[in-house]
Amino acid sequence: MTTTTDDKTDYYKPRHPSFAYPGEEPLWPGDERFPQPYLFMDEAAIAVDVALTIGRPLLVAGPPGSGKTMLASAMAGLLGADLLQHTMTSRSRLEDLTGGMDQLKRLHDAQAARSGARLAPDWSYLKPGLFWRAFDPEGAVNRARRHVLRAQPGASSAPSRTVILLDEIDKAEPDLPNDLLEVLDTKRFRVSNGPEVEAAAGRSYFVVITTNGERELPPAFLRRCVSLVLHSPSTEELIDIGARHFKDPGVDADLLKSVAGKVHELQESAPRLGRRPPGTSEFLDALKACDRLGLTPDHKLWRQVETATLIKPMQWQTKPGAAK
Amino acid sequence: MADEARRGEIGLGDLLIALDALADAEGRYAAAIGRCLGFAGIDPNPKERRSGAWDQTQQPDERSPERTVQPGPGGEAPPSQPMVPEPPPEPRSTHWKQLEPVDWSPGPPDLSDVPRLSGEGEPPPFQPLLPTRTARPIIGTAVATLAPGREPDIDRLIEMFSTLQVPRDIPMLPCATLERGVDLLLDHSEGMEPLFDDLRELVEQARAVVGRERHRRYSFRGDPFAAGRRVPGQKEAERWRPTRGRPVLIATDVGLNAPPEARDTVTAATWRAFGQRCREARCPAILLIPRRPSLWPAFVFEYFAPVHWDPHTRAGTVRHLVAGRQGPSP
Repeated sequence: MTTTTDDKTDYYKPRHPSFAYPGEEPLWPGDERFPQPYLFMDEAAIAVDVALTIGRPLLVAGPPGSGKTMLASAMAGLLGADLLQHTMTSRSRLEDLTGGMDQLKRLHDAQAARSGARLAPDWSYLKPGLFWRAFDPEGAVNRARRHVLRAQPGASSAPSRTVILLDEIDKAEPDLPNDLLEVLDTKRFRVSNGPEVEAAAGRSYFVVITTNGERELPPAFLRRCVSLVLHSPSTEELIDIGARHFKDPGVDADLLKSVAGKVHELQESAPRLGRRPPGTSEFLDALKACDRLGLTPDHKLWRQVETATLIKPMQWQTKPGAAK
Repeated sequence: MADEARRGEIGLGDLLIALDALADAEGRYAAAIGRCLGFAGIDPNPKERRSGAWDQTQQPDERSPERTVQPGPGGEAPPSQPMVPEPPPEPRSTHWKQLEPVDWSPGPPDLSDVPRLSGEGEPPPFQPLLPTRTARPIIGTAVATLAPGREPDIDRLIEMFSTLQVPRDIPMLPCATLERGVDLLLDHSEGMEPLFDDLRELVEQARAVVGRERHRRYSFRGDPFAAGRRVPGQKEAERWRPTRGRPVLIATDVGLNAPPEARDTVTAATWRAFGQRCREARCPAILLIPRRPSLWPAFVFEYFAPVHWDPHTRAGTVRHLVAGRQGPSP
């Protein structure tokens, strides 16, 4: 038996001309490039619509597994855009995102050139970063032979729209968000020892930045972004998400409801037990496992599935064997 | 998608553009639009920061005040008093002296013309020792360590070339980083009791700067060797052990506020031994001391980078104090 969810007709309908669902539902159904379906809750659709309308980055906060990254790929699918993604680490610097010179390779080649090898031109040592590839894909491939790179409209065969995803910005050093402000505002930057790169007027960008709340973000950065805080979905919303995620083939409606109920129970008890509450992605994992293995939450093996997909004791227990 | 690049913060103009383009005639979505533009206090930062210094951020398993630490193996630490991670919930009054009632023979003073505070009966607003405005740069500066940066060290390169050395790697100029995180050691001794709220706020401030995953919080009573913390799933508190290269930020009065009978238990020798232990582990040790510097004992300058825990402290002062005291990165 497959699920049939009640059709909601009172959801928020996006008004920005670029932002339109392919069907009647607030849904990115998935395609070859971005296969994961994504159900737009009203709060997410409104925030995306606002960010597109006023041309600001969208800062998406929420617990792990709440669909922050999936939102960016769904938007790339809906907008018919390229998706360029960079996942931040504590070592991430602005140069990783803009571009820089591979000094080590250059020095190595310079040493080799002393024995007769030909030294490559300086521009060949430039390493394009995410923003360079987004603002000027052609120039990023050909490096920089001109002093100022200004991408020409239509010069690239790539889509004229690009979704830029800066994932987990809270993992980066505290100064990085402020370093990004000028690049995001002006869509122009200078590469150290390299050219100045500027986005073409004909290209358009939608910047999605995600944070898990690991670290506080600077107020100046927050004031330049449209904010979206994703909450943990309710049981009904989980059922809706699960039904749409596994639409073809479908998932048993009773299984969907019972797994969603278990997830809701765990979400409620997690703070009391000092655990991290399961998110949407964990719910989908558990649902898929049950569906493929032919299990239900009443089955004697459910505890194993629950531990493996929803509780994940390694996240909150440091001593092996402490779980009971 | 936006075709124009613009500068500046989100303002009323953005709100008007969004409302004009997106809100329907009934204004159903106006509130949501305003919220995501920051006009209704939405904050994507961790919610515990939003609830301020009086929040309930402690995990339930951290609340018990009765846990004690078992002595660690090896006995390398000096004798220490039992560690209690959390302060007792009730204020202690053992050192308050009962005063004789005052004879108000002329009658109580007339206070009718004294202006009343508007929030009579409510506690005054909490003012942390490190104000929000300065906490971020001060903590960030105090616990930052040096790591190889992205800029080549030209002076070093020239030196190598001039001495005919072939560099295998390009020497890079160091840059400050918070990637090593921080161990917070909080002194919950009796002398620190008036500052317990500041200790809680300090935890939040450090968490906001360094990150939730990169800070560990330990508690002790006077003796830093007894610092420990509760760990979910473990019955006994986990004792602090230095992690090589990881900075240690110790919020303590170093016994300056301790009652006389407690002063003999934790001596300067204890602190020196603790400082030596941090030094051996190459852990930068920063003391956050709430008393004025003229009262600080000599040992704080020998093994630690002492920082005055005071609203008037500035990041520049901290940078000067910790410079050269944190040692080379391991």
